[in-house]
Order: sequence, then structure tokens, then C-alpha cells
Amino acid sequence: MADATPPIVDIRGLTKTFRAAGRQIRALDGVDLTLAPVETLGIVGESGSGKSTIGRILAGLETATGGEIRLAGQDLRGARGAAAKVQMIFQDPYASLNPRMPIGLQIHETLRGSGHRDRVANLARAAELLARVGLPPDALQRYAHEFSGGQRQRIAIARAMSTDPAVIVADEPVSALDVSIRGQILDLMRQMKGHTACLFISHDMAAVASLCDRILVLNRGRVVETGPTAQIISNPRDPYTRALLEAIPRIGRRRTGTGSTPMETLA
Amino acid sequence: MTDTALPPRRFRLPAALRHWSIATGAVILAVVVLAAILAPWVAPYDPFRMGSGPRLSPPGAAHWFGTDELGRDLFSRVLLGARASLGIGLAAVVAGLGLGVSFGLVIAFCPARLKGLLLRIVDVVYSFPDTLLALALVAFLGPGAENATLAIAISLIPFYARVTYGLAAVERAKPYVEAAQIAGTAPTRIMRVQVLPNILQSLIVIGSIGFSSAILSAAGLSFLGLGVQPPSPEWGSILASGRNYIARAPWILIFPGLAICLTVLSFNLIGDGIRDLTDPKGRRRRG
Repeated sequence: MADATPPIVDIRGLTKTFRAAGRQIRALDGVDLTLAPVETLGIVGESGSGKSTIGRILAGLETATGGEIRLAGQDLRGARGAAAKVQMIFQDPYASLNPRMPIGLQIHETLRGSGHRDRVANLARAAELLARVGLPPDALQRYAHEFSGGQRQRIAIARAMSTDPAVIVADEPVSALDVSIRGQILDLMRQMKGHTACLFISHDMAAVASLCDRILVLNRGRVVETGPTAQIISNPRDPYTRALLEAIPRIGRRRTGTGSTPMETLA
Repeated sequence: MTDTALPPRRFRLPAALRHWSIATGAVILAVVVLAAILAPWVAPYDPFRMGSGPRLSPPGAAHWFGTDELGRDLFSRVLLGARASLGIGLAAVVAGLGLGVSFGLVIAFCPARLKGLLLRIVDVVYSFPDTLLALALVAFLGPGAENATLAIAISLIPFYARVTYGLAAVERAKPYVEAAQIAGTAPTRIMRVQVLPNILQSLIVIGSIGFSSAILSAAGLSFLGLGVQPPSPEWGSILASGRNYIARAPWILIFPGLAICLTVLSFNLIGDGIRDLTDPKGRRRRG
């Protein structure tokens, strides 16, 4: 990735410390990360590796303890307006939609947040987006509980796309879904590629491998390894990355040798 | 989990009236409200006229609830007293709920440190019993029905604020609120458009609980001569005027006392019933 276009996201030395029960927990410990425009970067790692925290900081839901984040060249800190360029897709598709607001209005509210106040125009845009993610036209007036988990995640994707964000943070967007639905949502996210940059956070190596241009492996708040997807998958250098790859279940391949599982590596 | 998530539990009036405690409460409340509205027309005597009958005469055909120490018809006075009691209760609950809910929402959206401080302040005020707080406020504001209403409203704020905060804090942590934050929606709009509709149902229940406390406080203040001023009838002030005759004419205390009791009971029954019906852990069918 040696092209001349400046990165849309440029993170340097990002640290985040949480205080819990009097103890300081270092969630992120000097993370460097760049994301080119319309690039999809997979962030992988086990639970607690800090991968969600990066996304939440980028989306403005958490504040960094230290480090520097530049979004389209602008310092993110203090610039609340810049945050509208980031949208997020959450893990739990039901909790990410307001149970008492029709879907159309939720997209209208999202657009309203970035200054589009014309309700009629916003609803028209919402209808167009919902059609694009494969939902029936009457979805506009319906409520979240009337949809299946996969449909709800489609709605969440439509909502995230509505403001034409520069970056979408997708935090485990398929891990709460049925395996049969997962593929459809991943397909949909693949269609998004080329429109926006995406930070795809997941512990599912198979999903990451199928979607992302580059992979960044995170372990205990530190970047262990980063590189193009093909390179990480076929030739992982770090033992932790190898352990994550070993954990992918495969059909018709017997596991041979002493191949360590992530649990053994961490123990 | 894809298709099994429950729809939001909605509160439907016809279904609610089949719930025994809501139905009972609603019937009692309807009688009290009708009495308050229709008092001038259904009262058999002028509630202010002295000597409508013999002084301190016991309940009977001529005077259903008996007469008081000035010979005023007690039934007529209790009927008209419902206006003052319910009116003060309603005004105080509406004002207290409005302010309490606003405070609670604002606290839920405050940064951590300020939130801690505001919550401690609310807790300190909340630790005073409602009636005591209202009493202290009236002592400061001066006696009278309006000041009593204001004092009761203020005394309800900590309770409403605390409960609202608890409900709003739960919602605030949910991804749909975070999505609105990310979208750049102003906090006040998130409170109003996203959070409030999702906690409204619980607030209705809480509102009805505060109502009974407000009516008790109103009666208490009037009993102490700080609320509705004589000769205007109010249940608490009727009680106060009758306390010197408790041995000779207990009906002066029994009937307004019963009125307070039943009204408070009706609100508690309705509140409990609504809570039952809207309990997300499944509806407990009783009766």
C-alpha cells in the first residue's frame, strides 16, 4: 500500500486506560494505525484485546488517554463536528435500533444530526437506502421488533451509510447473527467497499479474511502484526496471529501436529 | 436470538381495565374525581353555610356524614374537599414530574464527575421524607394553597429525578443512543426523542405513585394549617377542625380520613397494576 493518497484515518500512539475498582487497566498501549480512503481494515484479536476500544474512540464514544488521531487530516480531539464523518454498526442489531421509533424516522434522525433537516427529503433518502440493502418499501413505517436479526443489521447498515460517512466502524457486525445470515451481511458489506473506508472489528478470522484488504492483529492493547490480508493469512509471522488462524474451524482438514490453540498460547 | 426478541411491551387501556387492581383503583378514583367535579351540583347543602343542621349531629338520613362543630353538612364539605385535594395533588405531580424528569435526564447525560455531584445532592434531598420537606418549604414560603402546591411539587422532584436517572442511564448505555450520539444529535434532542419515549411507560407508573404521596402531603399540610385555609374545605383541614371533638363526634375525622385513604389506595392500586402489566419479566396474572 504505497500509494500517494493520504490516509483518511491516521492514528499514532493511541493509549486508553480504564479505571476499574481502583485498578488501572490498559486497554490500548500505543497503537498505530492508518486507513486509506475506501480501504477495509480488519482488526482482529481476542475479547479484551482492545479492538472495540479503537472503534469506539474513533466514533467519539470514548476519549483517548493519549496519542493522536487524525481524521481526514483533522485532529479528532475537540472537533466534535468531525465525528459525523464516522458512523458505526453495532454487534447487537436489536439494541442498536430504537424500539419505539419507526425505521424511517431513525434514519431521518441520523441525517438530521449532520444538518439535513428536511424530513421529507430524509425519508426519501431512507427509502432509497432501505431498498438498496434489500428491504421492502414498507420498512420505513415499521418498528425494529418487526424485523429479523439479519434485517435489523441491514437497517443498521443503511442508517450508517445514510450520511455518506468517510469511515464506518463495524464492531462485530456479524457475530450476533445466525451463520446462514452472516454471509448475506458480509456480502452487503462487500458492496459498501469502494464507497467508504471501513474498520471491521471481529474475532472471526474467516469473516475478516473474506472481506478485508488489510489486517491488523491486536493482543492486549498492542499491535502484534499488520499487513495485507493474503500475507497475514498465508504467512503469519507472529505466534499469536498463527494461534488465531489455527482457531478457524475448517471442514475436511484434520488438524495435525501440535498446533497450539489460542487458549494454550495465552495460558 | 434473531426472531425471538419481544416487541416493546405496550400499555393498552382496555386490557389494563381487566386487571383487578387497576379496575378497582380506577372505579374508586372515578368516584372521587366525579365527586370533585360535580360537588357543587350534588352536594345536598351549601358546604360553607353554618347551621345547616344541629351542631355535631351524627350521620343520619338528613346529614349522611353528620355535621361539624359549626353545624355545616360534612358530606357536602368532603365532596367539595375532593376538589382541593385532587387539584393540589394533580398540580404538584404535573409540576414535580416535569421538573424531576428533566433533572433526571440531564443528570444521566452529564459527564461522570458532575453526575456524581448532582446525584449526591439529589440523594441528600431525597433522604428527607416528602411531607417533612414540603413542610419545611411551606414554612419558608408561607402558608396557603398555592404555596403548599409549590412546596409539594418541589418535594417530589428528588424522587422523580432519581427514578428517571436510573431509567435513563440504562437506555443511555444502549447502542441506539450511542448511534444517535455518533450521528451528532444534540444531547437534549437525544433525551427527548430517543430516551424519553422508551422510559415514558415507567414514568407513568412512577407518576401515579407520587400522586398518592402528594395527596397525603396536601392533607398533612392543611391539617397543620399550612395548606388550604379555613373555611375552604380540604380533607386535611376538615380533619384538623374536627380533632378537638374526636371523642364526641368521631365522624368529623372518620369521613375525610376515609376519603384520603381511599384516594391514596386507588392510586397505589393503579400504579401497582400498571407495573404488573408492563413488567418485562412477564405478566403475573392475578385474579
